[in-house]
Amino acid sequence: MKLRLIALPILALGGFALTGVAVARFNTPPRTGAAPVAPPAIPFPDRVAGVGLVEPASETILVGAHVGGVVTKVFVKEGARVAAGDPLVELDAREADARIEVAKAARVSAVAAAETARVRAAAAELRVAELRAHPRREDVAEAEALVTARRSALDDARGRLDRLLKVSDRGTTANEQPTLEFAVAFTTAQVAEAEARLIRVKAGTYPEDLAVAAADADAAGREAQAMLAQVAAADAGIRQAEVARELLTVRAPIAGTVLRLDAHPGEYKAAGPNAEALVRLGDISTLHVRTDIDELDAWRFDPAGQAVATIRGGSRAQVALRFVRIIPDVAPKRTLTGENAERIDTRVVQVIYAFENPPAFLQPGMLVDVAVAAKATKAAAATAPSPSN
Amino acid sequence: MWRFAIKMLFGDSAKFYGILLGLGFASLLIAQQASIFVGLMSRTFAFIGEVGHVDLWVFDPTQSYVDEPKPLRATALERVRGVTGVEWAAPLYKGLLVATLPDGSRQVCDVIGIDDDTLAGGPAEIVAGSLADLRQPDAVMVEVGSSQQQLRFPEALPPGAVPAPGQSFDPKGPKRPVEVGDIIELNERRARVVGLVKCAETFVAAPTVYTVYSRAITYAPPSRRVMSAVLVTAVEGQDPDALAERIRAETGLAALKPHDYSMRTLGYWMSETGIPINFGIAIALGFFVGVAIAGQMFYNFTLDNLRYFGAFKAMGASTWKLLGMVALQALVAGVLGLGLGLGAVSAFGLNAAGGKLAFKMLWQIPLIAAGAVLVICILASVLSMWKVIRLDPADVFKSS
Repeated sequence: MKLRLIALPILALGGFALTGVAVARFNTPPRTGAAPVAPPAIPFPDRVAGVGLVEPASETILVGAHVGGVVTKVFVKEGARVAAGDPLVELDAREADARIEVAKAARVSAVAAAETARVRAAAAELRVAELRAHPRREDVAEAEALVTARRSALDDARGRLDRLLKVSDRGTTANEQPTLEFAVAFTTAQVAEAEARLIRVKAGTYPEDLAVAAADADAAGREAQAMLAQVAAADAGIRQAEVARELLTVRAPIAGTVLRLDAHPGEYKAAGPNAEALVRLGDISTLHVRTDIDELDAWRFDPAGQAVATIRGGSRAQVALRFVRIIPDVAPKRTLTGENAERIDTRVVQVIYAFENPPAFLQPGMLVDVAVAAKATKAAAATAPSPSN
Repeated sequence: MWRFAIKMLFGDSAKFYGILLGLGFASLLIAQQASIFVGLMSRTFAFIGEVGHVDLWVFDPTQSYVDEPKPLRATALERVRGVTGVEWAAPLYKGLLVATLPDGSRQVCDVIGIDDDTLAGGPAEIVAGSLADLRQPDAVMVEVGSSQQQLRFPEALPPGAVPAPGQSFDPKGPKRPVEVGDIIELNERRARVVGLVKCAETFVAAPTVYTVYSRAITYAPPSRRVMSAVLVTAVEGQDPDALAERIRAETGLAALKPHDYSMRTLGYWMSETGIPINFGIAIALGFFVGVAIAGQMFYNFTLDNLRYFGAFKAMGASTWKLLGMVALQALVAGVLGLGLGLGAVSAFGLNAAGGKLAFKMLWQIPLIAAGAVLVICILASVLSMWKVIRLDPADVFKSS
């Protein structure tokens, strides 16, 4: 009984003490993780916030190929500064070079054909001139002389017949008379022939013959003209082939910096709307930041508001921004999680700002947090921060 | 006189121990079940407490508890950042993803994605590595030493090694805990363990894996919305409640202080699950068992000792005095029983805490147990007192 009297209260007291220990142990506040590294404070309380993508002032130009082809030469390296028109990449030009040779040969052929046609046209013209020169005096004189000669031959024949008929000795002349009559008739016909020839010679070239020759000359002239046009076409063909050759050299459209190079000798690069860019080019002398502002916050956005960009990471840098422009086309937000099945339910107003004095490590493609001073909302006015703020 | 009361109580050892057993058992049952209940329930919001260092949690207004997947739109972060009075805000991802281990076994993990920049929302205790290591490629930090299911690697695979081509492991073979350098697959993507952490025990029976937000959302299955919550720090001097109200008004999202968010989570589990009813039944049983055993024993004890009370009454002791004696006896028995019961619970709790068993003895629990024991003692002694009041000393002498 004595033992009980002492032991039990001690045990109970021990129990209470243990309870005290347990209560103390189980009522400590929970352990928490390490304190986060807070970003620098935004210098204005009322603001609109957005995520910004750093980009060149020129925006990033995805320089593509005019035509598809295999890369043979790359003239630049990433980071290189180029002037407008500088060659960046050359695609395989052997076929284009060959086409220039083909075009040149076609021109030589066209020139020769044009020369032939020209000579032929000149000959046709000469023929017309020759035909126009009829009747010639010497031809007329010749025909007239022939008429004269034939007439004298007729006169001679007639004289001989008359003389025979006047001779009385019929017996002796009876055999000669038919011969002389034939001679008269024959020479009479010959005179008629000579006179007809004279008339023909005097008439000169027939108009139909002249018309045919003239038409011939006209056709030959036109052909020569056509051949000259062929030469011009061949010239144009050479220029076309040269342009096609020139297009195989991809050139910088603006002065800027090569941001990314996706072309290596031996690679086939396609042309077209879905083709990947060979070179990403941009003017990074000034950096812009394309800021996405939720459409629900758009009403609060003020282009004139002070703006700062907080650069993520250890630098904790905060850079002042200058408003450039607002893009008047609200776009779906792109969240780059790398999932192609991703869909979007958020639309954002994009605003372009320029960095004032960005740190050297800031590069296109980096994400920054942008804050723009904005109108205070009604809710903010209703529950204004305490005066100590 | 009081001395006799105590002597009476301690004198009848069988009944005395019976009373102590009843009271001790009742207080033990009540305190232990209540502690386990509180411990279990506090695990539902342990993650919120562990994050710490933030003034507000911003989440979907329809979300009822912290683990419920109700992700926010990607621009929610910027909208919250645009609210006046917000110093800064960080995104948080929390979701269950499947990890594949080198032996081909699969394990659901609770993946936490903390802000890449501020690393806000990190684990409570880092065992190996540092939080900044999470910025390395494919880096994750894995929970170890918890009572939950854990990532366990085949023993045949040295830490940091990759299985040789064709090498396979028996999923039932010997296992070792995960080590720094080990490679796991999270949702078919590579994840490299760069650190080991210890986290608060949570309700979700899955090992916690920490990584940065941007990587967590690449591990997460494709979905239009992925951000689980936004952690907000208010500017200095800003009243968090006013800021929460402003965030609600401007963004339409819910915003609560960590404690309120914990209570919202707790409220869900309390109202939507059978857990409180189950534990409530156990606690009530403890109470009734205590009443039944201790009350009955005490009544019997008083009956047995009626002759002594009768003698005292005959010697001139007032009824009040006798009632006082009964009350003293009940009180002593109650205090002793309570002490023993609570001592046993505390010993059990201190021994089991940190293990699989959820046990959290709030300071209210011993008081509740004490109150219950007091009620049992009162109930038990009232019957006995009735007997003592009605006692006629003559009866005692007659019957003996």
